[in-house]
Amino acid sequence: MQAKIPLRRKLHLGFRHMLYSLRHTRLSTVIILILLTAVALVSLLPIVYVICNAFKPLEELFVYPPQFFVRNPTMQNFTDFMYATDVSTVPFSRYLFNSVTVTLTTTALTIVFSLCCAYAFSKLRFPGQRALFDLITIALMFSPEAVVITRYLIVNELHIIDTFWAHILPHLALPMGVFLIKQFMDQVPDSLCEAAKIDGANEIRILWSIITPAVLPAVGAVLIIAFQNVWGDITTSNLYTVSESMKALPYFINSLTSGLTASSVARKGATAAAGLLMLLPNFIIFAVLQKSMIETMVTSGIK
Amino acid sequence: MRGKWSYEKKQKLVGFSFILPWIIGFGVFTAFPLLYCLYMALNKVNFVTDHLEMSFLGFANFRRALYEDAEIPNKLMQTFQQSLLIVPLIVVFALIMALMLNSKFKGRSFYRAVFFLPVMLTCGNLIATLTSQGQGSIDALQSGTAAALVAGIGGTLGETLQVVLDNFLVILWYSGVQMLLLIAGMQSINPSTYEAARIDGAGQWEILWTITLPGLMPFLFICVIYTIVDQFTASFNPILEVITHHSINISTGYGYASAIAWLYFLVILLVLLVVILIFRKSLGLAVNRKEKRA
Repeated sequence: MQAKIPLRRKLHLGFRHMLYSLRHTRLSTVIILILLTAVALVSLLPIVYVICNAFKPLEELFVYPPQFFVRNPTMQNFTDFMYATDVSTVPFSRYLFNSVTVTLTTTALTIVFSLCCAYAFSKLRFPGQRALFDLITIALMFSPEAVVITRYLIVNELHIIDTFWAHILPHLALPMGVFLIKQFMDQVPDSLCEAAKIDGANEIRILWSIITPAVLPAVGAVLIIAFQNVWGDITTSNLYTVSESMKALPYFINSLTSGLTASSVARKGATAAAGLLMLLPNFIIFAVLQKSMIETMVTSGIK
Repeated sequence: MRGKWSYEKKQKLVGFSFILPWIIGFGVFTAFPLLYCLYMALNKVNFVTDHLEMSFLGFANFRRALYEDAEIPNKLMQTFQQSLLIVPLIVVFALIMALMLNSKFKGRSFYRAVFFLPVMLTCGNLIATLTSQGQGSIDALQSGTAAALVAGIGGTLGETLQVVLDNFLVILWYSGVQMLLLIAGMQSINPSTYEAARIDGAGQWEILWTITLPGLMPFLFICVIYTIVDQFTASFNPILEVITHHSINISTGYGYASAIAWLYFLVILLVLLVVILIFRKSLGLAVNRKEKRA
């Protein structure tokens, strides 16, 4: 019969184990954890602030200096927002539909075009390649705000004012998208593509099943940038569309508080609530990307 | 022989067809507006009901912006200085955070998720609201110890520190994408290199400087470029406000706004050139290594 390990011995072993793991949790790890926690807390502050704002009653929203936390939380802002959506000239669902359609299409197309273009720049050879890529890198530096009016002239020339095209087309050629993905693709060894080519894969297949999985972090970053460009975009609604039914959500929310009429002041609460609601898709994308992107980044890597 | 020629030709065609959709969009909505903007900068532009009225001025708009308008060179310098400070800060901060998030510890994916969240939420509107309400800085940081510290150090160093503290949240929130890119870059370094180094008796510090950082160079380069673009083209930028103001101002006109935009563009380009010069050596090394491997 196997002798049972006496309790004293067990305790002793447990204690030894604890000491061991304590001694081997390196000091650097502890410091890293403390630092990360501190920075994480600070970086979450704005989110807390926006959430608090959405639940603040009107008198708290107008307090100066602005208060960080909410004192008497209320749902009034959301009710106000619902009311504002009821009385808008065009049904609220129309703005929502416009925004969602435009955002989904633009983000998807931007990623596809950027991937194709970056692939050609990184892995294919064609005349004028270097010069074209230099041009893109230079164009990165030009702010869209500066070309708003010339863009308007072109949108006007193309006769796409007041259509979905006016929402989508100007956003598609995102220089940052090509730049980011191309730089990541450069890190993927050419031999990988050559091997696939010998195995009989065509260019589209190589791009889709070999290169794209390897540059997923860059694709994710482009997705985020493209999404943010479009979802919060108010310029397009202001300039390239005329009829109310072609305008997007940010325009509607902005219009709630434009002008200093009594109703627009009262709607400050509704805007605060809308500000939180506008972030919902961001949270959804976060939830989706968080697992897939951060984890693939850990496991797959590039080279 | 003929087969090879047609293969090459086919390759070129494939290459062109891959970039075509993007290049058309780029040409129509970015490159052409840019050049058109330059043309307008050389003119006095008036909006008449349904068309534009232009009279050629030459470089008068540029001269006016540089010599007569006191505001423009001032704002250009201001933006330049601020970015010169903020860009390295963001990149270094992102690098440190990425290094920490990449080291092994319990709950790492939780922390990664936490730092990923702000990336998702830096939607223009949110940042604009926050900065307009003075939430870009943290009150707690400014009052008390920090203020005393800044006052104690004084001079340029103190002021720099003040700027850092004032923009702490901006740095934090605008470094998310960079963190992401750098972590991805760190994953690309072969783990066996680290093992070999550790067997050869290299310490953490040595490994950081001789393996991690050189391996990260291409990614650091991407990060620096991204940060510069992000900072210089952020819509709350003082110079962009001036441009927007002038483009709707009838007396100065759109031509003048275009001239300022192009001056600004040139300044950023200058910064970009400096960055490329700094990184040229390390990037060139990386390229050479790659060629040798191939």
